[in-house]
Amino acid sequence: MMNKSKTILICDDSITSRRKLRETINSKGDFTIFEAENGQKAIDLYKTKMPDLVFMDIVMPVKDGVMATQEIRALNKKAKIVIISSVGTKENLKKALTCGASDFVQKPWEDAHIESILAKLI
Amino acid sequence: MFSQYFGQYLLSKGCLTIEQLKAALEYEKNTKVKLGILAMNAGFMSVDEIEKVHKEQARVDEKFGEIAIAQEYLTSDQLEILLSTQKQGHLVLSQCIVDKGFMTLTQLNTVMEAYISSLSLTMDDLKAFDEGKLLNAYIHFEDTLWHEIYTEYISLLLRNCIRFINDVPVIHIEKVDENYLSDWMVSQRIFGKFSMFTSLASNDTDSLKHLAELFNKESYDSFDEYAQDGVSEFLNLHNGIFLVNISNNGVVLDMVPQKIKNHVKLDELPECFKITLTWLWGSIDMIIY
Repeated sequence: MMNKSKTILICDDSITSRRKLRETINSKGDFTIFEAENGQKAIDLYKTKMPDLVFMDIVMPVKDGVMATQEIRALNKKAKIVIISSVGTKENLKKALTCGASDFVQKPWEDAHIESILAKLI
Repeated sequence: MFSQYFGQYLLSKGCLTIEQLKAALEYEKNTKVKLGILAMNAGFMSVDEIEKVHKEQARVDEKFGEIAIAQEYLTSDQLEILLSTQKQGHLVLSQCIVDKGFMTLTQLNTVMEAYISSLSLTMDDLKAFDEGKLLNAYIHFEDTLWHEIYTEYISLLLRNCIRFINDVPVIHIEKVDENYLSDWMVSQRIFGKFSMFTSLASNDTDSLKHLAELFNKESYDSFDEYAQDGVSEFLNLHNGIFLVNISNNGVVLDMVPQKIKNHVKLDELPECFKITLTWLWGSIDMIIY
């Protein structure tokens, strides 16, 4: 079991994706999880909750995941953000790394991949 | 899964109606392949010989194999091979079509030969289930410069149906020249080196709900927020994988977030195609332009 005090922010415009990722994370340990449905809400939540890890979708309304990642990293250079997207193109991988993401997960994700990220990053 | 492709071919050639194909696919679920179909498929017996055995079976209480060996249409070794032949989709569907009286054995044999010939397949290829060849045999976008892109897009959609909902639809492609109306539409625009509008649409919320249920592996009471999200995510995932595949060929594309709307009217649609996706449980249109 991992540390209960760790906090995770899931940012995805799909309510089902958020729930499924929350279930996957909860099956790997006890975490406090916050959810945001677009990049702007993720930034707002990040400021107040300062989560230990962020899972960030790319294609979202209002503000996309790449911009949100850049802004969160501007707030906290040590922010740990994992991009999780169905669009795993080389260009998006480059964008994710350039804007400071720690990892990239292709949807649909493998539970083992999420588990390894949790073990590695928090 | 192969039966869906062979069924698609029969549909595209006008050998069956969509209702007949659905009935045959439904019936297929509980049907075993008969030895006559297997013997024809293996080239051990002619259609005439099979029909003679069938007539003899109606007269005497003997099994197909016993009569065929007695008449020297089959050797005992050939009968062993037939009995040990694995259940194969196209054979099961063939059986159902004949049982239902939609086609005669002779008609089916003729169209099966034409099918195999059209795909440049051997019977071994057929058994190995060369999906790429099977798909390309019936995805045709006529009169458009976008033929290659659209074919790739729909081939991938069918593969994603197998991958994510484990149920490949029969498809019917037609050009939409007039306005298009739909009660519900989930859409997503792809842009970059080229631009493409994609959407899943239907007037039947039960079909959309069922797609979401298969994709998310959970049940919904109605086409509610969660079911809408399921259809939306299916389209988003499919488009995401399409972008990855296209990107691997050096074409950079991106996409905007999906939109869900009801009572939608699309007009002035250049190069617009409606691909009707029909499963046993319902029907949904894929609109692309």
